[in-house]
Amino acid sequence: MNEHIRWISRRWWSNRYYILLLLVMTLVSSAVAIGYPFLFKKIVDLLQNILKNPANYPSPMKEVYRICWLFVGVGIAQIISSFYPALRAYMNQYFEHNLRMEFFTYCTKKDYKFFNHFRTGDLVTRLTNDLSDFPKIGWFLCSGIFRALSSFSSIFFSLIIMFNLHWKLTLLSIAPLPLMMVIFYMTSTKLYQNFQKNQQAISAINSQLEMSFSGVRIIKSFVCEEKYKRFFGQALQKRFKTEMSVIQLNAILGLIYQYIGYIAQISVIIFGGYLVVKGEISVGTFIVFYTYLSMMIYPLLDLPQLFVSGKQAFVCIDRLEEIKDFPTSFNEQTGLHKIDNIESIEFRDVSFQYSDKTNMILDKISFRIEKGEKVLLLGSIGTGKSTILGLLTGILKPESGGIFVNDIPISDIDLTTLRAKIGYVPQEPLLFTGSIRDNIHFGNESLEADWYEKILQASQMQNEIEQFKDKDETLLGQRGVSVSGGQKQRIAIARALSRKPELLIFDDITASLDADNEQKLWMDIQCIYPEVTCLMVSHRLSTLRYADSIIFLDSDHTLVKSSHDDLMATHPAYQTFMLEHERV
Amino acid sequence: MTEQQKPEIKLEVRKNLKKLLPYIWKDKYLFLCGLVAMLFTSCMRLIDPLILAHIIDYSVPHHDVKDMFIYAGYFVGVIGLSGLLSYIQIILLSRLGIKIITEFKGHIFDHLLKLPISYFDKNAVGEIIARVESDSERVRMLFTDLSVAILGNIIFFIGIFSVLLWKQWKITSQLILPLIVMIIAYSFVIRYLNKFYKRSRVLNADITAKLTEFLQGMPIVQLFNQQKRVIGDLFVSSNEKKNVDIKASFVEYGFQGIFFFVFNILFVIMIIILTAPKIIAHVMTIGTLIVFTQYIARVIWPLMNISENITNIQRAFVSLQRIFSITELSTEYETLLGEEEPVFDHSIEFRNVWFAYDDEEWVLQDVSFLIPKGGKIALVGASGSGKTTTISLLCGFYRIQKGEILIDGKNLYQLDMRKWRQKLGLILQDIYLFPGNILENVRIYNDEIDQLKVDQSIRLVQAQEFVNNLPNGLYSELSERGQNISQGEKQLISFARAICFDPEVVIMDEATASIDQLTESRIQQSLHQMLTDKTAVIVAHRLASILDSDQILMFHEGQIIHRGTHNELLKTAREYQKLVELQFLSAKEEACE
Repeated sequence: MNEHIRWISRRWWSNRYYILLLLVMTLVSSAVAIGYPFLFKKIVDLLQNILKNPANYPSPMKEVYRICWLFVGVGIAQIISSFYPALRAYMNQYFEHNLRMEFFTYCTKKDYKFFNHFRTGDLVTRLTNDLSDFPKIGWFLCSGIFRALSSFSSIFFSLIIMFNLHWKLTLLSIAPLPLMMVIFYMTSTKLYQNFQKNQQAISAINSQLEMSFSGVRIIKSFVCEEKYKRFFGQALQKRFKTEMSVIQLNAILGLIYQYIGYIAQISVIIFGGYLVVKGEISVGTFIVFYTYLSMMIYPLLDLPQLFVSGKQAFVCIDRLEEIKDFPTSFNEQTGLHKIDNIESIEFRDVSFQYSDKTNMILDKISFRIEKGEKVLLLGSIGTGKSTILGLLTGILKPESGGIFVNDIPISDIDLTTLRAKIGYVPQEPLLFTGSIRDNIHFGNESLEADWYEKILQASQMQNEIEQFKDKDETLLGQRGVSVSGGQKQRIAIARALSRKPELLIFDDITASLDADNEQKLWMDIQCIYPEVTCLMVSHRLSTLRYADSIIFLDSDHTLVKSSHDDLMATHPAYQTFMLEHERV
Repeated sequence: MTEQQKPEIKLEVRKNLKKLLPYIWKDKYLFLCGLVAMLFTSCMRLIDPLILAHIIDYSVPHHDVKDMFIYAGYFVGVIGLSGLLSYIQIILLSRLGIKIITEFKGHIFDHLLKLPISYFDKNAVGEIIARVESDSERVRMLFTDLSVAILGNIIFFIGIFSVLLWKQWKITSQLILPLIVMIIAYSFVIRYLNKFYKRSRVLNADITAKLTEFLQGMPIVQLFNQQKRVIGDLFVSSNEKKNVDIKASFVEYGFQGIFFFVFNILFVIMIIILTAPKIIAHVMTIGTLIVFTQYIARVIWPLMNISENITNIQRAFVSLQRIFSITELSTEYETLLGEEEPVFDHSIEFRNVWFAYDDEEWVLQDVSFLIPKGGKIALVGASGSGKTTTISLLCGFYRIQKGEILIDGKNLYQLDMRKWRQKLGLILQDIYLFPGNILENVRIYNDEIDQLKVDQSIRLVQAQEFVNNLPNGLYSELSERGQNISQGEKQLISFARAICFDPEVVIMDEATASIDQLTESRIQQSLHQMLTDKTAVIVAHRLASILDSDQILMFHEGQIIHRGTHNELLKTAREYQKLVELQFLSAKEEACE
């Protein structure tokens, strides 16, 4: 819990003046709340006295009016202090927004392990619901804590007045209160656990829903819409159970609250009633005690709320910090050396293993690529082709061995500059919501108009775009569905080309690029980027004709690099590989 | 990057209530018991000021301690009962609320799955989910918090005014008018605030959608060094939401301050000024004054909360309407009304088919072809030329504008589409994986397909090796988007999926192109065996996978420009020659030497 408190203190310190203002307002608003019943006591006592000794009060209503003016004064103070909750709300929103931006920024620096570990739906929940809903972080950081402070100060002020009036009655009335705190604290731990379970269930369900609806075409084509109910049923049932248990616990807590609050009032009625019947205290005092105790119930119930919502908020803080703390290989990797061009790429004895697999996918492999070389990466499934691409771009970090760009180790290189020189086309063309134009400019915001035209031409999108109603302002929905797979791929190619890269990486784009378009693509690339180095993963052997050399990954995790002819002559595994293809 | 605009929703409270009723009716006893508990709880709250007043007016002047203790005893009893009842009330109504929204969600998700594909083309998945989740939470509050807050309090108010009118009707009647004015004024403020709340909800869904997209595509963002841009994009929405929420708070609390002033100060002063003379004249007791002030004090918070809760109720109804609007969308059951039993013994035919996704941007123009049963048809051509669309049409995902699609001479749209789809096995280019383990991914939660069958299918596609390597075999959970298995392995799963549903027609959209040659050749062999009795429609770019086909359809810009067998086309079609030439294997030539 200490780290949580420190965490909160740090957040507050960055807005200390505003927090100070809130503190002042807290005290003012509590004082106002306490002042009013006290004035009422004065009225009652006054009326009581007027009834007993009418002779002392020649003009009784004048006295009454005098106290009424005091009421008005308190009222004005109350209007001013009524803005206090609005100021709290301002801070809530401020925190919510800032935290969201801060932790999203952390996410942008994470590597594949992070995104493997956390489902997108879960991350989104942590950056939305966890922040904005009641009683989670955004609320707690300001309102949560200040309401507790406000409660505390009003209790404190009322106790001062009560002690002044009749200390014995005060003690009798507040006796049950500590008991409540104890009982409450005991139950709050259980609540914490349930709440955490509930949060996880919510995140899990959201992630799974996304997966489900993304694959709606498959579900429909296999006529499994009804069957899929089974999955929804499972997920929703789990959620129902956790929510019900949280509610039950909350209800019991509510019950405890009520009874204990009332016990305090009963004390006043019994003891205070006795005293007032005996004439030891005035009716006004009796009323004010009753009022203060009734007023105390709410703030008193609110105080332990601090712990409850605190626990809940702490869970959310933990979930946020989990994002920040999750190790990423990127932090260590950014060196200082800036790259202007890519003259050579070399792997020396590089090994790599995915964290959730049991064997090394790359085992001490070595190769060198020179500027301008067009290299084709071949091999069976799971031999590590995409892994090599990941290592090259710095997305993955090798277990051992070294990767060198221009004979400089990659760990010394400023990855941002390296990536700026790389145009990467992924296997699955991920596009973002926005127009085609936006998506292409995602690679290079300051792309000149004439280059834009050239790139559209090279990626074979020129004619396609002409056919769309909105041309290149056509909006792409999530996952770019309203265009065909091949068109998506070509937009991704255009995006990569727009960076004017030194190195082009094609991770199996030929899946959605037919032979004709492929040929045109290579010709156009030769035109606009004649000296570009290319690294292609492909399963279509026709790509051979565009390659200068082959990197062949064997299923026993060895790597050879040479020309096609050389490999055919000297490498039996390669021959087999080619023959297998032949047979097809 | 632009936002998607949503049309303004007109709130139709009555209609929504009518829809909600059946759900409540299902658990009517739960509902009634909760209401009864609420009724009693509200009445209990009226009693304690009366007890207090009695003590002041009677016990004190008469110095009657015994009488005071009796009434104190009544007080204890009332409190004990009211606590118990309110606990019961909370549990019953909350349970009702959660049960209802769980059912809602179940229905909504089912309904969503049945919507036509065009819905999913236009609406982002992330937004849909945000909508359903937060909307159903708001509806739940209707039962757990709001019903108590509103109904309970209304009963309370009626009780209060009854008692006050009975005690001092003259004074009470003077209070009613200002009270009504305050309530009306507050409701105007609420309406004004509503606009802010709506905007905030829209922005929230926007933020969720953006976050979903950026987080899913983070590797691309990082590779393209676009972190700053993406952060800036999110900032715009998040910041606007912050500002909207802040404005709303200031309006709300500012007005609340005035509300407080009127009740705590003005009303009380009024009461004092009206009652003091009467008290002094011994016409009224101090006890009655206490009752008045106690009741007014208790009225403030519930009254304010009623206004606040009316907002929440409105929000809940907006959410309810949004949820129902999903269930009102026509499902495929309503758009695809064919009922005839599909029979596929002879052929599938496209006759002069014209199709466009939007307006008249024709993706298919006057396309005609025939697929005989047992035939293997390959679709080739440039991407975007209409091949994938043809496949979507075969699955009945869209309706064609002109022409006919005939199955054994019957119009596709007259057939029972679900029964037709059962004859198909679809393998898409983009591989979709579902939450759960490999078993459920292959059979899509269809428990009519047993594990044995799934095992067989996995074996057929030569994937048993990689499945066995996983820690839990068939029961291994797949991470989101299947990041813990390779692209090739994902392909194999989608293959196994198609096979285990025993289709008559296998429809493949370039699925095999992403698998390496070695594995693919193995699959090709087993597929060749499996496809012997089946019809196949394959969109392919590779020469290898179309050499087996009986007929090749070459698409170009939405039309079929060539058709025939491989050899025929080689001889007659120049474009086809070029296609083949590009795919011709120089390796093959060399191997023969």
